[in-house]
Amino acid sequence: MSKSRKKQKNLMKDLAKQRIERLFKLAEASYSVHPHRSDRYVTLARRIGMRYRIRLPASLRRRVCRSCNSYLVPGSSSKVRLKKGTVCIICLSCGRKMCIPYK
Amino acid sequence: MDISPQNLIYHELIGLMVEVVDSTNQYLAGINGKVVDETRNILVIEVEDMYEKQVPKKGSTFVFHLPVGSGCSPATSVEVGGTLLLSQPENRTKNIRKLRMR
Repeated sequence: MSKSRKKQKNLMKDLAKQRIERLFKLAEASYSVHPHRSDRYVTLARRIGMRYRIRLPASLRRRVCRSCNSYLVPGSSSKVRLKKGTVCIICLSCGRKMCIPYK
Repeated sequence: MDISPQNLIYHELIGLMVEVVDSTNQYLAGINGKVVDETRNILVIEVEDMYEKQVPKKGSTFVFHLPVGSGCSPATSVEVGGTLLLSQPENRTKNIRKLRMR
């Protein structure tokens, strides 16, 4: 890959990362008044991540439902339980369970 | 690289304050508010009284007001032709390939 192509690719990924972070901030801010908007922002953030091959940051990964793309807020749109050494996050809109092991 | 006048059309538009300066539909010109959603052909703008307006990108000219905390220290506004934004929101960043890098 030539130097300029590499530069373009890095720039693209950098912009995409910033966009993802910004969308999650907006989703958090708008959740209380417009929950459907925050779902839309999160969907967009996931799409951007897929398009530019960027993983969501670890802190944000637990905030999205992978099946219905809804924004997860513990207590209102998701419930969190500790079961057999795993953190189980259950989406209240579609019922998908995400279990993450811990020690 | 933060949001700046140079990379505005490749960056996230949702959340920015915007003004429709010119439009082929005269009733849309003068709309002022916050970008709430974006599709390939449309920007959804929330007008002050919690009312949403859908403005087509094609045929409109927008002035975006960049936030003060971003890359530019004084508040900056950028005028953008709507045709430059004609793309799906997730594909817009890809258009940076068309730029010539030095």
